[in-house]
Amino acid sequence: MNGSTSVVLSENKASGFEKASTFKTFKTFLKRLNVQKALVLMCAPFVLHILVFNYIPIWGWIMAFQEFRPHLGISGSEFVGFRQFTTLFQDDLFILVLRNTLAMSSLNLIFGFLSAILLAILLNELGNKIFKKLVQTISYLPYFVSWVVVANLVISSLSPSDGIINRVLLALGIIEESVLFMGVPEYFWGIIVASNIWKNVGWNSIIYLSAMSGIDPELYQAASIDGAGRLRRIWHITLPGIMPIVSVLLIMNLGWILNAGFEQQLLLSNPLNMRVSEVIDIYVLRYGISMGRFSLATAAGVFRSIVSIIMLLSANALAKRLGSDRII
Amino acid sequence: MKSKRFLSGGTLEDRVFDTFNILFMLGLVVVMLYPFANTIAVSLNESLDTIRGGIGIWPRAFTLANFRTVLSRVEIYHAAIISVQRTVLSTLVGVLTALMVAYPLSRKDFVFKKPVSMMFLFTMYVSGGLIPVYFLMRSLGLLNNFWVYVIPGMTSAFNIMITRSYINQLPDSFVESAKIDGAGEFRILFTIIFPLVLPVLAVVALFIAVGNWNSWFDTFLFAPGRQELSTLQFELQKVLQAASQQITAPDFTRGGMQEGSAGIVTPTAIRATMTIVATLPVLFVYPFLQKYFVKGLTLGGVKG
Amino acid sequence: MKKNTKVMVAAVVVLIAALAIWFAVGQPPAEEPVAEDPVEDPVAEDPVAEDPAEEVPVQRTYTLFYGMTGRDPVQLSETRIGQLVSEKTGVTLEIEFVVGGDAATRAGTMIASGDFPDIIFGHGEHNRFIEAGALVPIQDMIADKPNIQRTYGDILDMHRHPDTGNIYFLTPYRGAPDLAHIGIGFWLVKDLVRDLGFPVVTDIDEYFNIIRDYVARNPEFNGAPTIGFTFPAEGWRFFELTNPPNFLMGYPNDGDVQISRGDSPEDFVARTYATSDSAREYLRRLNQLWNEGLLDREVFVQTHDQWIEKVSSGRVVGMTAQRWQFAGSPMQALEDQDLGWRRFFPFQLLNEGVERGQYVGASVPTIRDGMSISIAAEDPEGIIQFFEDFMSDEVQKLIHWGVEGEDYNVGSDGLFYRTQEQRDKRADPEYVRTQGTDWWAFPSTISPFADGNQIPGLTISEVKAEYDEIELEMLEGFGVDTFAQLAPEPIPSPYGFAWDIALPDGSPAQLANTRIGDLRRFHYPRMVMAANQAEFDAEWNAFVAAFEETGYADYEAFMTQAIQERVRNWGLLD
Repeated sequence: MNGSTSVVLSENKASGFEKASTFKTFKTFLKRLNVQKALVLMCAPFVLHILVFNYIPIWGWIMAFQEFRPHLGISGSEFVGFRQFTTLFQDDLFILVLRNTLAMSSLNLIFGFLSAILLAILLNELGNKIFKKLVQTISYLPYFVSWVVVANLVISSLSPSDGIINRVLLALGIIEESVLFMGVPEYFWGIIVASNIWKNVGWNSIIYLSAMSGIDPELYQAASIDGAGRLRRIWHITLPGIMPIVSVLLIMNLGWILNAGFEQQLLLSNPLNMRVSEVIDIYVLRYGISMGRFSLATAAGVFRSIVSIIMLLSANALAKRLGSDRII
Repeated sequence: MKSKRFLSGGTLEDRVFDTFNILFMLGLVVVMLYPFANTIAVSLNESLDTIRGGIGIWPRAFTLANFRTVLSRVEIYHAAIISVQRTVLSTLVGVLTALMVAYPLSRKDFVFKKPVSMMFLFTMYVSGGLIPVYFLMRSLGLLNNFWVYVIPGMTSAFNIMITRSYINQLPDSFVESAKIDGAGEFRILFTIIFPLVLPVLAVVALFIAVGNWNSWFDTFLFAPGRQELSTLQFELQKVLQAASQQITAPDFTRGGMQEGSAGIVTPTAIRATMTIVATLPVLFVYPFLQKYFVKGLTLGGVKG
Repeated sequence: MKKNTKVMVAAVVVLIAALAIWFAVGQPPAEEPVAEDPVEDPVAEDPVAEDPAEEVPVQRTYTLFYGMTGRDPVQLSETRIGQLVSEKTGVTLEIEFVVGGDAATRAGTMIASGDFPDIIFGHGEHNRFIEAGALVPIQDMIADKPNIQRTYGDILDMHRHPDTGNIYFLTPYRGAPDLAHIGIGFWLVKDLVRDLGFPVVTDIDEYFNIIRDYVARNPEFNGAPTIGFTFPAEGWRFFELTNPPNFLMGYPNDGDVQISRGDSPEDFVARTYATSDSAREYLRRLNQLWNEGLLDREVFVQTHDQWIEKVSSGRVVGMTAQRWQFAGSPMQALEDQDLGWRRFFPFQLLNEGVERGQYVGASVPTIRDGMSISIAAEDPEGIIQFFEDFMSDEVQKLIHWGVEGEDYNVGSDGLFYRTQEQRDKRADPEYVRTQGTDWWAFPSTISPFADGNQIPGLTISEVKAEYDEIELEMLEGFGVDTFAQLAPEPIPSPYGFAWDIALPDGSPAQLANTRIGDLRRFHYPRMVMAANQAEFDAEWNAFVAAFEETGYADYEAFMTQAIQERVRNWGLLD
C-alpha cells in the first residue's frame, strides 16, 4: 500500500530518464492501479450501477431545451434553446419562490444542525441507560407521524380560539389578545423551522449519537482526571469527536440548499402567507406539471442541479480551507 | 468502562448539568410524545366523534372500528410480506454497498478517489427527471417487477459518505498491520473494518429500512397495476382514499342511519391508524439496533 | 474475534442468498397479455336490448385505467354486482386506480411511454390523452348499437370534439336533476329557519342581518362561541369565496366567467367577474362581518378538517358552500349528537335588483371526459360491444338499483322501491365495497327503462323516502313536496357549463387563469380582513391594478370562442 507506492515513485526518480512527464505519470498510474486492483474491483460494480441508474437518465435534460409534449416524445418535440430558462427567470413569482426556498432552507439548516447536535450531546450525557434509550426512542417518534397529521396539529395549536400556544401566552400575560399566528406572514418561516425541528430533531440526532459512540472513552477519563468539568469535556472531546461527520453532513446539506421541502410548506400554506410559503417544488407542480409544461419543470430541475453542484464544490473548498473534513 | 452515577460524587457542575438535562429531557418527552399520543387516541376514537374536535391524548369514544377497517382488507397481509421482503433485501444490499464503496474511498491514496467521490456525490443533486427514469426502468424490464424496489436504490451516496467518514476516523494502524500480515483488501474490509464500523452501519441500516418501509411512491410510479407487488404503505394509501370518499355527500340514500354510523371511518381516523400500523414494527426493530450506539463498544473492545 | 466476524459475514451472505431464492421462487409468473379472443357479437341479429345474453357472451378481460384520485380502489369485477355484470357482458375488468400520487404524473408517464391499458378514464387528465392522440374515435363503431343510440342518441353530437369532430367517450355525467336537495346556496341552521317561520330569503343583507340578530341573542352554543358565518377556503376549495359574487348577480355556475347570451352564437361572450362591483360589495359585506366578529376568524388559515370540526359541532349559524362539502359524515355527526336541527338549509340570495338566481344549474350533461378506448387496445370492437351490453336495461338496473331482492324490491305494480333496511345497507361503506354499488364514471342512462321504472334519483317515491323527520317538517313548513321545488326552474343552457371547458396545456389562457387565481387568493382575504374602509379600498385598488397584468383577455377570448363553438355544434339554441 503506502510502502509499495513510494517504492515505485523513488524508482522512477532514480532512473533519471528524460521521458515526457505525462508518460511517467501514466506508468505510475498503471502501477498504482495494478496494486490497488482489489479496491477498484470493490467499487467498480457500483460505479457501473450509478452510471446506469443515475447518469443515463440525464439525457432527459434535453427536455429543458425543448417544448416537450409527451406524445411527440423527445425526438418530435420542438427545440427552443434557453427559452424555458428565460421564462423562469423573467417570472417574478419564480424569483420570489427562489427567495422563499433559500430562506427556509438556510434557517432549517442552521437551526436543524444546532438542535440535532445539541440534543445528541445532551442525550449522550444521560447517565441512566434505560432513561436514555427511552427518551431517544420518544424523541424520534414525531418523524414517523406524517406531515398531514403534524400540520394539522401545528395549525390547531396555533389557533386563536382554543389553540394551546395562545392559551399559554394569554395565561402568562405575554399577550393581551389571541394572535392569528398562521395568518401573519412574518411568523411563517419561524413556524416552518420550529415544526421541522419538532418533527425531525430526534431522527437527525441519531447519526451524531452513533458518531459519539465511537469516541474513545479513555479520552473522557483522562480529561476528567486533568480536572475538566462536564462542559469542558463536551467542548473539547465530544464536539471535536463528531466534527468530521458534522462537516460532511453540512457540506451535503448545503448542496441541497434549493430543496426546502414540499409537503410541509404545502400543508401549512394558506392565502395569507402564500407569498412567503411557496417553494420551488410547489411552483414547479403548479406552473409546470399541472399545466403539462414538462419542459419548464425540467428546466427548473436543471437549474437546481447546477446550483447544487456549485454549492457542493464551494462548500467542499471552504472546508478544505478551514482544515475541516472534506467530502471530495 | 466508566460508569456515571447520578447525583453522587461528581462536581457541582456535574450535578447542575445533570439536573437541567433531566428536566429538559422530561419536557422533551412531553412535547415529542404529544403528537404520537394524540395519533394513538384518534386511532382508537370513533370517527364521527373525532370530527367534532377536542381529542387530546385520550380517546373519548373508544372503538376498534378504525383498526378493523384498516386491517380487514385481505390485501394488506400479502402487502406486508412484500414490504418486509423489500426492506430486508434493500437493507442488506444497501449496507453491503455502502461498505464496499466507502472503504476504497477512504483510502487516502486510492487512485480514483476524487473522481469516484464526485460521481457518487453528484447523484444526490442531479436527476434526469421522472420521465427519463421511467423510460429507463421500462427498458431494463424493472416495471411491474419486484426488483425495482431493491436494485435502483442500492447506491445511496448519502449512506456511502457517512460510512466513509466513520471509516476515516479509524486509526491507520489497524489496516497497516493487517497489510503487513499479508491480508488482501477484501479480507481487511470484512474482518477488520466491518466490525469496527458497526455503529454507522446500524444507522445506515436504519435509514434504509425505514425508507423502504415507508415508501409507496415507487409502487405508484413503477408497479401500480400489480396487486402482488403492492406494499403495506401502498395498501394503506388505498384505505385512506376509500375513506376520503365518505366525507362528501354519499350517492346512497341516507335517511336515519343511526346503526350504520359507527362504521363510518373518516380520513382523519384512517391516517392516524395508518401511522400506528406502519410505525409499530419500526419501534420494535429500533431497540435492537440501539445497542450499537452504546458508547465505547467498538474501539474499547478491540483496542489492545 | 476474527472467527466470530467470519461467521457473521458468512451468515449474512447466506441470509441474502436465502431471501433472494425464497423471493424468486415465490414470485408469480409474469403477467399474461390480454387474451386475444375473436369477438363474436353476442347480440347478433337481436335488436331488442332487453336481454342481450341469450347466448353466453364471449369471456374476455380488459384493463382499465381509472385516472381519478381519491376513489376507493375496489376491483368491481370481484364484487357481487360486478360478477353479475361480468356474467351478462362476458367482460372482466382489471382496474388500475391512482393511489397515493397524483393523476397528472401517472398520465404523464403513461402517455410518454405509450403503455396504455385497453380502456382509459382520465377524469381531469382526459383531455391530455385526447391531445396525445391516445384514444380511438368511436362514432362509427357505435352507429349501429341500439342500446347506446337509445340512451345517448340525443346528446351524441355534443360529444364531438371541436377540432376533429370525433367522439372519444360516452359521458357519465348525465346532468340528472337533483330532485331531493338544492346543492348550493347560503345556508342557515334549520332550527333558526323554523323559528323564523320558514321564510324565503333572497336579499343578502336580510340574510346577514338574520345572522347578526341570532348571534347577538345567542353568543354561545354548548359552551363554545357561536360562529356567525363561514365557508371552506382551503386549497382548491377557495372557489367558495370567489363564486358567490357570480351567483348573487343571477348568473349560473360557469366557473370564473359570466356568459352573456343572445339569439345567435356570436352573442355569447365570456367575461370575468373578479373585478366586478358585485365582487367588491360581497367582499365589503364580509369585511363588515369580520370587523363585527361574526366571521370565522380562522376561515383562511384552517385546514379543511378543522372547518369540518366546526360545522359538525353545531356552532356554525350560516355558511356558503356546495352541499357535497359537508353533507356526508359531518351531518351524520350532528345527528349522532342529537343536533339534527343544527343541520343546514339553503337560500339562494341575490343582489338588489336581480330577479332570479341560477344557483341550480340546468340539467345538461357535462361533456368533459368518460371512458375511452385506447389505441393500444387489441379488441376495440369487443370493448364497444361491452359498452353496448352495459347500456342494456338489465345491466343498468344492476348499476343503479342493485340486485333485486337484496338492494331493492319490485312492487305488485311493477315499480321498484327500497325498504328502509335496504337504504340503510347502502350507508355502510363496507357493504358498498363488497356489493359493488358504486359505478361512478361508467356510461350511464337517465332515460326510463322499458318497464317504466326510472333510476332511483329520478324516482319520486325514493326521493321522498330519503327525507328524515326533521326534513319532512321543513318541507311541510315551506309547503312543498321536495326541496328542489323551492328553487326556480333552471334555465336551459345551449353550452352546458363553462367550468368544464378544458384549457389547453401551456396556453396563454391557462397561464392567465392560474395568475388570476393567485391574485384573488392573495388579495381577497386581505380585503375581508381589512381593519377599516380605507384599507379595504387600497387593497381593492391594488387588486384591480394587478389584475390588468394577468392577461385575462386571453382567457376571456378563449372561453368565448369555446362557448360559441359549443353553441354552434350542439344546436340547442332556439
